[in-house]
Amino acid sequence: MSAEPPLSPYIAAQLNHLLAYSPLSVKVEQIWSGSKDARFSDRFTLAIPFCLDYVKWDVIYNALHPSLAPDVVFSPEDDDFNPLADIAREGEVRMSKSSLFDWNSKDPSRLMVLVHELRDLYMHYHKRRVGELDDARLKFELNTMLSREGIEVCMVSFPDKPEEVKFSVPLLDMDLNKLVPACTWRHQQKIYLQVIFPVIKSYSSAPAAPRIKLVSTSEVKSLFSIEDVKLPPWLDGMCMAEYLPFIEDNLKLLVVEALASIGARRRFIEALAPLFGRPLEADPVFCRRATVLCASGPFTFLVHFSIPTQFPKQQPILVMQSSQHFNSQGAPISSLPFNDYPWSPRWDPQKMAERIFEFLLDECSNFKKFCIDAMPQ
Amino acid sequence: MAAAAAADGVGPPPFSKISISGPALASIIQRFASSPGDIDGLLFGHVTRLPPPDPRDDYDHGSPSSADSAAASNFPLAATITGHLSLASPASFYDALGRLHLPSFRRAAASAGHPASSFLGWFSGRRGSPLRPSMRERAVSLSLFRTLASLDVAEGSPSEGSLGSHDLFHRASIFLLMSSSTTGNQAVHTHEYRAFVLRPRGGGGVLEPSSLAIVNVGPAFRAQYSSFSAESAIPWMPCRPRGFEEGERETGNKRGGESLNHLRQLSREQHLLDLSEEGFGVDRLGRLVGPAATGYTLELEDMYEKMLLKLESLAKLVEESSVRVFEQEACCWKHTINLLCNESFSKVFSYLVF
Repeated sequence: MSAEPPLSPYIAAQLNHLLAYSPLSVKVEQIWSGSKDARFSDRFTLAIPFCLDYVKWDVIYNALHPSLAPDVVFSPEDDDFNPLADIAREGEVRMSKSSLFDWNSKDPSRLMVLVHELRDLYMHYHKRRVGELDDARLKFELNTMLSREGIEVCMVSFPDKPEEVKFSVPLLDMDLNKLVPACTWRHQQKIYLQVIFPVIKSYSSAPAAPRIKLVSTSEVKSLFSIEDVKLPPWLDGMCMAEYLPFIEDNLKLLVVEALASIGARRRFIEALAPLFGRPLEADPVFCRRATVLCASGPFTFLVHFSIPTQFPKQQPILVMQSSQHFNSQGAPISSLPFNDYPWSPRWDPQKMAERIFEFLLDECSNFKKFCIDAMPQ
Repeated sequence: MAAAAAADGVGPPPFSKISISGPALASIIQRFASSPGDIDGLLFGHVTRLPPPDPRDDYDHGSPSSADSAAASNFPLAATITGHLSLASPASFYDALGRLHLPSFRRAAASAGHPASSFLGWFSGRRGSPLRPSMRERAVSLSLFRTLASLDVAEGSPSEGSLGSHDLFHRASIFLLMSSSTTGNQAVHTHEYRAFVLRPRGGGGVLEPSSLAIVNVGPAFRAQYSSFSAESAIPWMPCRPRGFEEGERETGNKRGGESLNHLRQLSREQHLLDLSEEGFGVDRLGRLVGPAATGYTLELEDMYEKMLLKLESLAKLVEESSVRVFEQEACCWKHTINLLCNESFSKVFSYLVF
C-alpha cells in the first residue's frame, strides 16, 4: 500500500486544531485521498468518544475545492440520523447558528465546532430513540436521570442480539484534575458508571438486572485502579437514582485515600534523599516512581522504586540495575523485582527508607555476583 | 384512507421499480471515472405505471368493478432513468446545510436540454468513500423533494396524461450514489453504485436503498420493447389533415396577435415541408389503403418513374459534360506537346506569358 499524500493545508490546519484543542479525545484512524491525481488527501475517519465508546465518522472534504464545507458519512447502524434535517426542523434561527451556515475554510477551529455540534445532535438522536422504546423501566430511568449533568445514553443494537440501552453516568461531582496538585492531565479525567439495560417489551417478565461496570478515563489509573472498587449488588426493583448514592459514597472515600496516598509517597521519596542522595529521577505529580544511584565500594548501581497506589499498605517494588555490567545485547543487567523485603505500613517514612537501605546493603553483594555470572565471558 | 396515511405517517414507497438504461449508467460512470474529483448532477427520465397485478382466483369476488377505478391510481410506479447532467462544479445547486438553491437548480436543469417534467432526482459520486448517503446528501434529497413538491402544488402542476399530479411529488425522489476505488498499483479499479428512494416519513424522509435494473439490448430485454417510449430531440411537427388545420386557422384568426405569431411560424414550417414533399402531402398517404388504393398506387408508381427519368437525364448530362471535359483536357495536352516539340523555347515562354 503506497503512503497517502499529505492533507490539503487548510484541511490539515482544521484537523490539527481539533486534535489539539478539543476537550474530547478525538482520534484520527485513517487519512486518504479522494481525487484522481492524489496530490493531497482530503478524507479521514474520526473516532469520537461517545457514551464510553467511540463512534467512527468519515469526514469527506474535497481537495480540489478545499473551501467547501466537509461532508460526513455516519456509521451504518445510524442510517436514520439526519442532523441537517434536525437543524432545519428547528427553524431559520437555529440554522444561522450552525457552523455550516457560513463555512469559512480559513478558520482552523471550524472542524472542531462542527464535530461538537454534530456530537450534540447525535446525543439527542440517541435520547430520542431510547425515549421512543416501549419499555416502562427505561422510560422511568430516562425521566429521572436525564437531568443529571453529563449523562449520555445510547441504543446498542447488533444484528443477532437483543437490543440494549447503555447509560454512561459521570460519578463524583468533583474535578479530579484540580484535586491532584500540579496535575498535567490535558483532558478532563472522570469516573463513569456504565449501566446496560436489556430492552424489555413484554410486561409479564420481571425486568432483569442491568450489567454494571465502572469505567474511568485512561489517566485515572495512575491515581488509583478502578478494578479494585467493589460494586454493591443491584437489588430487585432498584433504579439508578437509588443505586448511585451507594457507589458514589464508596468512590469518594477511595479518591480521598488515593489523594492521601500521593502525600505519603511524596514523603517517602523525600525520606530517601538523606540516605541515598538526591534521586536521579522521580515522578513529581503522582510520586509513583523514583530512581536513586548507589555505590558499594567501586560497584555502582541504580535502584528503581515503583510505588503502588495502595502505598503504604503495599510496599514499593525494587529493581537493582548495574551501571557496570552489560549483557550480550549491550543492555545493563537488572535484578529480579524485590517485593518481599521486611516492611510495615506503620513505620514512618524515615524508618522505611532506613530499612530499605539496610536491605540493599545486604543484597548488593549478591547482585554483584549475579552480574558477574550473567556477563558474557 | 391510503391518502390520509401517506399524509402523516410513513408513505408508500414512491417507486416500486427503478431502472436505468445501459448507456445512461455507462455514461455517468464514465463521467465519474474521468473526473479529477467528486462530482454530482441531475438525473432525467420518465415514469410509467406498472400494469396491475394478475387478478387472483378468489372465491369471494366482492365488488371489484367499483374498486377498480379507485385502485387504478394506486398501481405501482416505475421510473426509468435515461439521461443525466453532470454539473461542472460540485455542490453548485445546494449549500453546506444541504438546502436547495432554487435559481441555480433551475439554471442547471434548463441547461440539460431535458424537459423539466422528466427530472427524477440527482446523483453524487465520491471516490474512496462508503456507499451510504452522507449527512448532506440526505439533506439535499429531502430539500429537493420538498421544494419541488411545494412548487408543484403552488403552480397547480399540469397533470401529465394518466399520471395524476400526486405522482409528480414522487418524481424528484431518486438518489444514485457512486463510489470508486483503486488498488495501490492502479491495476484494479472498482466502481460501485447504489440507488436510493426517498420515502417521506413524518416531518422528514428516509433514503431507502432500492434495486436498480439495467435496461440493455439483447434477448433478455425483449420484454422492454412493450414498455418503450420514444425520446428524441426532433421538435414536434404538426402533421394533421390540411382541412382540419385550415378550420382551426379560421378560429385562430379571431384570437389575439400572440396566436398570429404562432400561425406565422406554423405556415413557415408548412412551407418548408411543402417544398420537400413535391405535392405528395402526408394526408395523401391515407389513400394507400381502401378502395382508391389501386389508382393511387399507379399514381405513385408514375411519380417514381418520373423521378427515375429525371435521375436518368441527370446522369446523362453528367456523362456528357464529363466527356467534354475529358476531350478538352486531351486537346490541351496535345497542344502543349506540339508546342514543346516544334517551336523554340523562347516562343513557349512568350506564349505562356501571353
